[in-house]
Amino acid sequence: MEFIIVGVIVVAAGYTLYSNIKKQASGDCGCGNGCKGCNHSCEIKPSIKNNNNNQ
Amino acid sequence: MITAALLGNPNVGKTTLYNALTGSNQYVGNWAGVTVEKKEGFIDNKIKIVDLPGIYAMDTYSNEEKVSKEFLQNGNVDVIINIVDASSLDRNLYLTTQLKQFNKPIILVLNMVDVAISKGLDINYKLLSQKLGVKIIPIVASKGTGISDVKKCLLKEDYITTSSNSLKFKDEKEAYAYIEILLKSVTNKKNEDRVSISEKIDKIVLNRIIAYPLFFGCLFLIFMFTFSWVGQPLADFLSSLLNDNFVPFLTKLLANNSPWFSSLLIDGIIGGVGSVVVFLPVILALFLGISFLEDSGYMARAAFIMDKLMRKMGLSGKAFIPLIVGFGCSVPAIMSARTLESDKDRKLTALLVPLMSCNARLPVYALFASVFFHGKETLVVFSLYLMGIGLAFGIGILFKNTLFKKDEEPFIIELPEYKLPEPKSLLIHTWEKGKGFLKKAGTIIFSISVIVWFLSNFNTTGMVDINSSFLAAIGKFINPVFIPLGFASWQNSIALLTGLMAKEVVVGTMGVIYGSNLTHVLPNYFTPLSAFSFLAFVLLYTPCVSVIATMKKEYGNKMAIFSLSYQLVLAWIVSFIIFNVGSIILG
Amino acid sequence: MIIISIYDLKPGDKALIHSVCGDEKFAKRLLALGCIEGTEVTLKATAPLGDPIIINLRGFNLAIRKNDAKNINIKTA
Repeated sequence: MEFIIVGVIVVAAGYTLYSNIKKQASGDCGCGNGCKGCNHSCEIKPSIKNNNNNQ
Repeated sequence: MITAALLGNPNVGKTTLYNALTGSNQYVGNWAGVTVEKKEGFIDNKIKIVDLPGIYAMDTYSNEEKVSKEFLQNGNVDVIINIVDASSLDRNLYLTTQLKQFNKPIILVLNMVDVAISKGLDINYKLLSQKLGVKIIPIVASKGTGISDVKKCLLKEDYITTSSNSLKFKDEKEAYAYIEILLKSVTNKKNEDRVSISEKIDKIVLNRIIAYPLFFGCLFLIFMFTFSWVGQPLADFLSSLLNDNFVPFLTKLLANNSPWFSSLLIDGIIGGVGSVVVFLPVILALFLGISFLEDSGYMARAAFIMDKLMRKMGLSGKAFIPLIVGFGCSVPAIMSARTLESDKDRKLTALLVPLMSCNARLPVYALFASVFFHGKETLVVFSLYLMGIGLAFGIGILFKNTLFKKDEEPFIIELPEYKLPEPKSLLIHTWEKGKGFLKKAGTIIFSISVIVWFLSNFNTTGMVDINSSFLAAIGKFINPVFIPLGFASWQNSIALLTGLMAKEVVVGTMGVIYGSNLTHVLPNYFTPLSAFSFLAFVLLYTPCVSVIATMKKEYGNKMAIFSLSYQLVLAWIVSFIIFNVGSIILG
Repeated sequence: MIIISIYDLKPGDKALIHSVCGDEKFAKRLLALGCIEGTEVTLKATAPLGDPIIINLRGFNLAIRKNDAKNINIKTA
């Protein structure tokens, strides 16, 4: 029984790590969870970025 | 699927409207060929809204304007949503006159009508709608008023599709002349020459003598809130709940299971994830503070007063904003550097961004500060942030005179009116931040904790004592590098190594290999001096994989490698100085 | 009518725009913001270290550098 639980944990950990590294390596995301994952909360405020559009 | 293009000047609440319409149904990508962000969101899967960058006109040569122009011409746009500031229509309408050239139906969303009314502005919507040939919807985006009207209008396709007025003008002068006449006929401005509240506030905020101390004072206040008054105390409470209640409870529950099984669960998972999660209050407190400051409009003033100083280090005051974003996370900060004028500005800013201590490092500071500098947490952490800023100045000057010589570029920044941040939206954003943090804990920190647990309990012969494990072997191998820095131990070395995945993991890893009651264990491995040296190292060394990947994506391999290397070297040197000079001074 | 620039104004002074010269991109940007001939502009304040400065144009506040302010010519009233 214990082995089943551990098996699940290991698979979950492995898969999570793999997908997290993939997302991190894409250079699109700060937290490794994708933009939908945290609704851009890794930014302090999305709106500030537009403040610089004075080109 | 109906496609709507969302356009408007910066600072008129476009993003607020966009978020209100699409909720979390958004995707962010890139416009092909340029480094301008492409944001798409959906309403009920029936309407696609493409959020274009905030622009003032369609013909002034910037990337943002080019991208918008192209999209409107070739992107199968069914309707344009043009959001304007009702309280300062003339400049906003310039863009509107240009948008009319694309012959698409336009929904003119008048935002901030509450401000307009309070300024004594009285707008005849019907007449304006008729004269411009657009559908008009007044809203107050920050309060959510009128959003449902916009949604309804889009879903019902209830817009004006024909217009007799083509509004082609020879130049800006003609366009503005038309706008002035138009506005005279549809608005009724009651005389207000009274000095606005914003101006009164600015008289104080931008005052010669007060400006800088006030700025640092505000930041310090936020830190007090985070570390002394609210954030840290709550974190301490959670920590004692974890260690004094939850862990013993779990231990009893698993008493009949194999020791390795309960160890995996308790020392590994709970130890790792738990030791990070307890810092949620600290993260939320800091985030809330900075969001408040930013929502109020103060940050634009900060960029303004910082400009002259920043020019000394080779940047413009506009680079200040990406640097501030960097206090949250370096990834969006590096991305927002795209909006700076020149390539050199962008590269230099991107190199300095990671020196702005990101959110993820906070749990490390909070933990060590509460253990080794109890009662002085605010001071210690604030000094770390200042160190990052100070070093950024220094490195900026260094790079400016060596790698990035260039001429100055023109600079314009708009200073929006001050406003009291909307509590509801502040809280929602802060909660979103909290969810993101917890998600990070449940994913990357969880998986690293499991791996660290395995590596720390096994070697080739099977399950062993931690000091003979794989992990110990790896740690002992890299340890020598840290000996001159005062905090060398194989465990600390491993913790720093795992920090490359996410900085919070430094705490998580320590929670696994030292045990979750870090407050009691850490004094055995650090002194206050070596702790501070360690914190300086954590502040400065190579950031997480995400950041390196973003650097690579935005500026190429060479820059990415340079960035991660120089930070490692800088961290080592600064830690070395702190520990060794400190040792001499302290005797 | 003497032509000077915003650079020569003191905080609180108002003036009418005459023309914008200098860097093409900068000029175009200002024109798009409504900084056209005959528009009233007010110098609101200067930064604590003297630079940049804040001007008020058509009801909103813009911060620009003193060097660039030299390129915005005004008519004296």
